[in-house]
Amino acid sequence: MKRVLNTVLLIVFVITLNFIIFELMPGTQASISNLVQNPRVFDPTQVARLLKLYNFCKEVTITGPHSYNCVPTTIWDRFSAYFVNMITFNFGDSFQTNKPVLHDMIQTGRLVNTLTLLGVATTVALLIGTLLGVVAAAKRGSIFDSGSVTLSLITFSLPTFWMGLLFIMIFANRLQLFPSGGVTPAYWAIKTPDLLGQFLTRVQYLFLPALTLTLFFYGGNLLLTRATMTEALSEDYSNTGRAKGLPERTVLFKHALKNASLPLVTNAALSFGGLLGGAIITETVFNWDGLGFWLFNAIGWKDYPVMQAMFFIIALCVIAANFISDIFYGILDPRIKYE
Amino acid sequence: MSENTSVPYSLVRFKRFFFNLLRNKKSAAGLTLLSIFVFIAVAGPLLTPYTPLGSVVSAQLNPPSWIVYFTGPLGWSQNAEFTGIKASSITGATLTTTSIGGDSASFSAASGASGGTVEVQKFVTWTYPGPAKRFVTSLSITPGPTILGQTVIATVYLDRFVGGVRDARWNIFDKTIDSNSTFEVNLDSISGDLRVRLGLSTSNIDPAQLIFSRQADYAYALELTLPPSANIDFSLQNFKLQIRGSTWGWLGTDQAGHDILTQLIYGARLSLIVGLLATFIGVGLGLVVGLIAGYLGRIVDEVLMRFTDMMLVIPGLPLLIVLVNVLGPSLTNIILVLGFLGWMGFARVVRSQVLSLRERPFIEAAKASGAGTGYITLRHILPNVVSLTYVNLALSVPAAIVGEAALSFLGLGDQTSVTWGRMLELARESGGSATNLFWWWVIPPGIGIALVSLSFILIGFSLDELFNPRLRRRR
Amino acid sequence: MPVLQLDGLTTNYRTVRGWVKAAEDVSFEVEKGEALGLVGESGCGKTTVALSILKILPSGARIRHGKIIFDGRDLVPLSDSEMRKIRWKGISIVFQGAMNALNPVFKVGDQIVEAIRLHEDVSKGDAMRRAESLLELVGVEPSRVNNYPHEFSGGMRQRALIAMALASNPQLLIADEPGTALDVIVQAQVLKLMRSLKEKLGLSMIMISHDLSIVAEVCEKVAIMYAGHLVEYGSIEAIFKEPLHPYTQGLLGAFPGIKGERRKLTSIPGQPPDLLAPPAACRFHPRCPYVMDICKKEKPLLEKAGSGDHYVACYLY
Repeated sequence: MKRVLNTVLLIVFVITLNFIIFELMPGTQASISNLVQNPRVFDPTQVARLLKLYNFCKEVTITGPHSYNCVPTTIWDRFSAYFVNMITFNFGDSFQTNKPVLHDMIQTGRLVNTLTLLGVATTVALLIGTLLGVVAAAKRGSIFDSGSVTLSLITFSLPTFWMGLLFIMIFANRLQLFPSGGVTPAYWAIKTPDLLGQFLTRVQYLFLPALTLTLFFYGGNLLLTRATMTEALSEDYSNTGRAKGLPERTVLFKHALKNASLPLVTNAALSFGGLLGGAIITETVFNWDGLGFWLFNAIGWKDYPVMQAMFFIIALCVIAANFISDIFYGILDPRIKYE
Repeated sequence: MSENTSVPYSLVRFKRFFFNLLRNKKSAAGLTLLSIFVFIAVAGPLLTPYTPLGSVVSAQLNPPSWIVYFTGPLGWSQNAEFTGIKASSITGATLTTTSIGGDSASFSAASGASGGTVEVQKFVTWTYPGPAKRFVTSLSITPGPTILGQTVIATVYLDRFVGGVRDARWNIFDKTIDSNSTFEVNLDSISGDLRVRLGLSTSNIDPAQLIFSRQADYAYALELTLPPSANIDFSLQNFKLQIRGSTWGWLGTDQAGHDILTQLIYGARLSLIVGLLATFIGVGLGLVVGLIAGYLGRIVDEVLMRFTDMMLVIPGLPLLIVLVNVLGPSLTNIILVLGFLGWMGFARVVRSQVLSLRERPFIEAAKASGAGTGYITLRHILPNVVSLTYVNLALSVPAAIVGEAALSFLGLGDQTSVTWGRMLELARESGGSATNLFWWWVIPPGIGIALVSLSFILIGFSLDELFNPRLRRRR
Repeated sequence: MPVLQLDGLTTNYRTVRGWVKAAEDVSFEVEKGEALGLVGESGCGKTTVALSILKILPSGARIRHGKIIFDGRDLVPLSDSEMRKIRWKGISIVFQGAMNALNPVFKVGDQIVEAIRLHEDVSKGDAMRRAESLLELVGVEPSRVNNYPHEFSGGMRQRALIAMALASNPQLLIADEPGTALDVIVQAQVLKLMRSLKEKLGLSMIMISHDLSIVAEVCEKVAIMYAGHLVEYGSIEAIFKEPLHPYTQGLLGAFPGIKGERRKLTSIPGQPPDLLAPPAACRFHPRCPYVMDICKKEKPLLEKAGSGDHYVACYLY
């Protein structure tokens, strides 16, 4: 119960923060007003609609092709309207396409693209990071241990986008093994191959961005797994397990890992925000048409509806991840009881 | 940490601490690396004669000169400049030089009855096995007033000499002069005019590639053809021709021919400034919040920590993007935003340390002797969280540097300054597509970021070991 | 034939600063149905000896010399898979119950079942029933098999550990500081349990403790260790009646007996040595009140002294 309340409180906090940033900072109103001067993108009806959507004006009357009259609202009016808009996922229209933000997000396949990339990278990074972390902890002080620690420290301190650029230079431009960007090849618009061909091509396009994001994420996971596993292996229950005659594998992966995974679950949730940040950058580097790339383009366009929506949705994802990890933690650790 | 210490800053202690830090292999490596970067950052302008985005040093997108050690010298060239100014009469004219040297010459030319021609030349010996990539010329001619009423034809040539004999001549400019006002001849081989003039309009060969393609002697020549019986003064300034080769310096050039090494040096400065300032703000805020929450406790603690937790959950990069976008992408804003988003983790650490310190006997004793909250916090608690501060300072800088680089890379960097992140953004943007990435432009900033991060991480880890006896023993 | 015979066991730990000589040239025997107490200060190598016998030493530790003859077979050269068959079925161990010897994230019953099914081909249900009766044997409500360790009290955890150690009917039970860190009453109950189990099941036992009086409750024989060396070895009566080694004398003075006459508590002056660079020859010589020149030059051998089955490594005798 307390957890749910906490989560609701967080969502309210995020919406409020979003509101403060976008509505009270100088620029938003001005830039919307400026759009009136740009009839190529906006006709006054649309501007009027937007102003009403964000509740800048109680009443908008269009007085000419580039001008309107506005009866301004109070902050509280705006906030309540904004709040309702956010929780009903009514984000307004994208400045780029004049279509609803939600449409641009889902129908264009961006959401699926991002989920694919994130899903693959997270799974691989968690698997590899945890596995290598366990082995490194088991062989503490060996060459394998110091090697994998050094490597993860390196990938940890290298900027994601730089790794992405390097991969493009090496694997796409020089070796021509993978495409340098995009989600699917352009010719699919004309002729789409059979399913197997589609799958293979998609994997080819996915490989470099997924590799980049995986490398971004696995290092921290490895280091943490190694630390918690080292701790767990030095606990008496690991010795009990060995003394029982359990094979080392069972001691490692059953007895020690279940204990060590507790901080890992928390960390995975906490680092989810960072992972999404990494996804934004990776998608940008590889022109991967997902939510992150969309957000990047929205920056260039000053597409505030999209930016707000993305910020809100990413924050929601992180909040959800934390909520889920709390529940997981409860399942993994019998010492925690929920009311 | 012994319990009777309230003055951790004596010089002796600092010396011993520093000595310990140097004795540790990791931190010694980190400190060495960092001092190199600090030196580069501080001495920046002394290390390079150029400015990062102002000076065009060579042709665009030149790889570093040392590339020849890997590919062999074939096909590569470097910059060259014409030197050795010389004025002479060719036919039917007498030349009286008043001054000549460097890039300028003043002379008067007198022609005979059938007219005459004088010539001013500079020379270069093209020794590189590969062709040049581009050339740029400059020249300003100021005729004396005696020109009025007469016409002089000025022609600029590039001549090639093989074995002392001219075997080719390219006419790159001509103009009829009839007034005594100064006029400028600034040619760039990349310009369309020159290509058309040399019949290269349809090919993508630069005139420089055509002309400077053989190892030979070249002359850059201005010919002035005088009408009969004229006596005219000429003053030439800036008589220069720079040949830009296909390689440059240590790290090559960018899209506009700027020196990448210079950008890297200036970038070190900005990246360090951004990283350090943002970290100071973040750590300072975290310290204040943590101390207040930990020491005051109760409702203040509850409210502050609830807020901290909320801020921790908000995804960092999207918030960063949004804030910088709203505030405007200036360096100051980026530093402020990075700082204001980087305090939460540290606040938590400080708070828990303060909570444990509060129970210690020496705080109790201070309280019992009537010391006020502020006094206890400043005098007894603060010195005991200083070690945490050091560690956190060191470990937060890389995050701030990478954060700034990420922002710049997303196009939200300060457009007027060159940081490592912005170099990478430019490197990516210039190609238009990802297929045009140039290693000498992409790799150095990334290595810079990685090494600075590494140095701080090494120092941070060893500080942690030094301050945290549990870790020290486990080694 | 003794159940277990240690012959010159030497186990070292490798650290960055060199080899730590945790146990050196340790020899003793445990007869069938007999309990041996292994006594010394913390860090003297008692636990190292226990872990060496089971060969579950942490990485970096190595048995460098000696034989561990269990049931007529030397364990030292055995491979890990062969060793696994001996663990628990042949030799089992009870760790300190106050620590995390039970895995906190698994049910107590499941942990006992795991031990049973590892060595015997029985169904889950049968194993669970056996776990219940084992818990009953050690005095824990059988229904608590479904509880997690954190739901147990310290004493119950120690009992559950003992129950688990008995899961595969071991020939030899090693008890590492049983009952330590529990309050005195619970500790006494645990010791009582150990003694009754030993009698009921005819167990051979090695009991490790820093407290001679605890060992005296259960064991017939005692081996005293100091800084990795065995310094005195003999029947409990002999050692209590006639402690020969100055260290044993000190130990006896340092603890009040649970029973027995009241004595003035004395402490041994000085610090236990650093095992990275232990004192040469007799390792006790820097703290010994009767130190002689030879103590600093040559290591004294464990030799028969006094009356009956009593050995000591000291030049005084």
